[in-house]
Amino acid sequence: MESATATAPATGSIAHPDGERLMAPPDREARLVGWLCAGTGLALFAVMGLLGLTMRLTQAEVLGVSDEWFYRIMTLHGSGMLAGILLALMGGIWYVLKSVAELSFTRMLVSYAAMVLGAVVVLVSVVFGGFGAGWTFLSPLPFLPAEAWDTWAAAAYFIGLMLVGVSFLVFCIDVLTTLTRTYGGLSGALGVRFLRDRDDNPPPPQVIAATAVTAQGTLASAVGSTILIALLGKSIDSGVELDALWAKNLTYFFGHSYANLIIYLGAGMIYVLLPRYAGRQWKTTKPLAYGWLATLLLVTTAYGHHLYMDFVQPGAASVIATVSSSAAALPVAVVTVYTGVMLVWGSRYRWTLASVLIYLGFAGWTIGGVGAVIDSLIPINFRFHNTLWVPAHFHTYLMLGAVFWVMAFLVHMLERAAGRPASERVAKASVGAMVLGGYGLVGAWYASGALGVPRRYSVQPVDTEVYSAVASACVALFAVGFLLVLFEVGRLALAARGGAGRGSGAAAPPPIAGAAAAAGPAPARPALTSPLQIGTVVAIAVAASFALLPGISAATEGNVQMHHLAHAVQYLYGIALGIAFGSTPSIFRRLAPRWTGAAIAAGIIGSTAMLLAMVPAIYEPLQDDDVLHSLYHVGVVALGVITGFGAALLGPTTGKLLAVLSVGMGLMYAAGVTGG
Amino acid sequence: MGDALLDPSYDGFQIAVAVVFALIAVSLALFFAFAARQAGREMSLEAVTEAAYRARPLWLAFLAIVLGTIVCVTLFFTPYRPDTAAASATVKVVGGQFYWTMDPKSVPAGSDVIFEVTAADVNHGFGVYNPTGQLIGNVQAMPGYTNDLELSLDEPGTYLVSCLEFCGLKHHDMAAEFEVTEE
Repeated sequence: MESATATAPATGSIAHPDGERLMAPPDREARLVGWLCAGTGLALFAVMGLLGLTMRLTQAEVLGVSDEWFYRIMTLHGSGMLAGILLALMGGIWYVLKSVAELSFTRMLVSYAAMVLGAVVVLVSVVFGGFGAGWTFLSPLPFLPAEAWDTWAAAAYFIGLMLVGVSFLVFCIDVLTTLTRTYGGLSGALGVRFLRDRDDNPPPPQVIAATAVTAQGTLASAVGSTILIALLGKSIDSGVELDALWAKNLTYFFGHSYANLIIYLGAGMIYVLLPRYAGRQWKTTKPLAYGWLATLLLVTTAYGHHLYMDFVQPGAASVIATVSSSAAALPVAVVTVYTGVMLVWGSRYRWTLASVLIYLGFAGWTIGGVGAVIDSLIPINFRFHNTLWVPAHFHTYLMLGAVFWVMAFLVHMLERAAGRPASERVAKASVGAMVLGGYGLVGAWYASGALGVPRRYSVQPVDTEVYSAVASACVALFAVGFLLVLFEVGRLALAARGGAGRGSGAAAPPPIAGAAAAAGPAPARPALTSPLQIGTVVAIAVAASFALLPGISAATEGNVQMHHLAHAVQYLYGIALGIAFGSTPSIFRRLAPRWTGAAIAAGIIGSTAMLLAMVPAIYEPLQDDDVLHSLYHVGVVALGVITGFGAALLGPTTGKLLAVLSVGMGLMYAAGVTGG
Repeated sequence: MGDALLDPSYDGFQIAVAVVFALIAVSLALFFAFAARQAGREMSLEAVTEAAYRARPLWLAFLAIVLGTIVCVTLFFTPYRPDTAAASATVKVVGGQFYWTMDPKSVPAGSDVIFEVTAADVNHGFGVYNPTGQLIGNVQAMPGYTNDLELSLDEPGTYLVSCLEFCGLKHHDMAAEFEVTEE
């Protein structure tokens, strides 16, 4: 297969000779979003990384941080890292999607602002309120703090995380709506039509990746909102009782999905960035489309591995989680990483700081994935659960995978803007320090985990401090490498300000056919696209009001869960009316798509308010007055109408998804909130 | 913890897992280093693609068979559904902030013990370390639920119970001892 001799890449250029034409030049909005998200994300990473080092030094008994502050720092580290890396890679995928889909700049800014605000509120709850229940906030720990924090701090933390969720949800809905409108609905954008040989011009790979991630992200956000709102409700009224197993399921579904989607967002971005250095296009193939369909399913069903040691969890859930967790490795190993290495192989790959980090990200993802699969096997988890093996594996694919890609993204933009690659000496030194330090850190953790050292201990078991000392030294080495990257980022930024790079008048070469298959969006369509669909939904509303509701209402006496179920059905009734009304051609024509932003807001506010309305402190004062009580239930229906109306304007895919998930939130709440 | 590999109560399970992982990780690192060297060469895309696409089904089949086999085998060794009828001792365990209560506090060596584990307040993790410091099993202690954990305690000595689910300010101090006496 080899056709030529080994040769050194050309110097002086940033991209591969063929690479420049494989990526459409980002427009101003794409660049702005890129700078904002990658810059803010890396700044958060830097601060949270320092907090991580503080924890290691405390465990090594070098620093004397108190227990209170250790667990606050631990909570902040987990939440802040998640928000920062997620934000950076949301910006990354947006950057590579913008040239192939007309995404809304305004809504991306709203998403950015919500994430930053959420991070600030989390910071306040932890630093000033003392909240330290960990990012997993397993109920009822936030309400039994052993005098370490006040309830308001817990409430603030939940609001902060809800804002993070709102940020990601706005991003997901907007991206999913735009991509499905542009690429022939969900089946077109996911590549299903292509798989069925009904699409000769499949979407670019980053579109398929983004569609899968945003669809799953919408689901994860709905689940996350449900548990966070329920917890917020308990902060408002201590009479609210949450089932511990239910809370764990929802919390881990939310957290697992978000943490997973971070790396999958990164993969979608890499589909576009890597070809620039390899000079070979990352094409949409059938294995790629099958891989993302599998990923969409498997990310959804794998979360149960967090609950293996909850033996009361139904056994089938653990079996499904085991199979899914291992199977999730297949699309990574057989499609994305495999194709990435294939494209690099024999390409005269152009090694710059950005492209080295892209390549190393594959290694981190793969090695960390092996550690994850090992821990997802039940007999092994029986001996490794909540030991340091767990942070070892997820730091391998997040710190040495996703964060490498975030750095690569920022450096890529800067190298492009500056018109020159990063200094080779700095690149070698920084990457060398980060690889040695990073793998040293996770190596110390893997060893500690195998020895049974628990995670999340401010004071580690006797005689294991040495592992923390080694880990601390390794983190410090990683930090040196990271500072060198920042130093080079600064130099490249100065060069870019000098106007040396592209975008300052240099004409981009013509793109290779298919590299930027920008398609215009199809005309907007309502959620319900035919009279039959509208009729069906109205029939559901009628069924809810005449058949379902009376029976449930009769059972509500003395049964809180049935009472909440009655609320969910009233809400369903409202959603059915709203989506049917908003989908009628005359209404829809007048409002869509100018009101897309308002439609997203209606969906989020409607579902949030519906759950909050179930807090006893809100509805109990109204129950003694028949008129007010009736108005209250009319209000629940009205919230449904608002949600449904918003869903109608968001089109067939996102609209229906939003409507179903909103009702699902009510049903989930009814299943798990047992008091109040 | 766990520095007594020659002790009969240390079965080497975790070390074996870590060694297998380390071998895979090093192999992957070497592969990525080798592929990086190949990246500097120049080969025709068609030749690379043809070879890679030809190998991909085999790679998929290999991974699917290996992972499928491992998953199937491990599903026969889950800690769920303990045989409570065959147990020679039952210990009631309650975890609370930041203590463990166990009744009884000791059993004779060779016992097949069922630990009935629950929590008085928040979620805790009931992690059991044998006298050599090896983690031999764990289960969650949950408010409102009871999880039954079955362990065969053959080695006499003092076992350590540590909390393996973050439970608040003194999570790291939440430990207790459990005695396994000579038969």
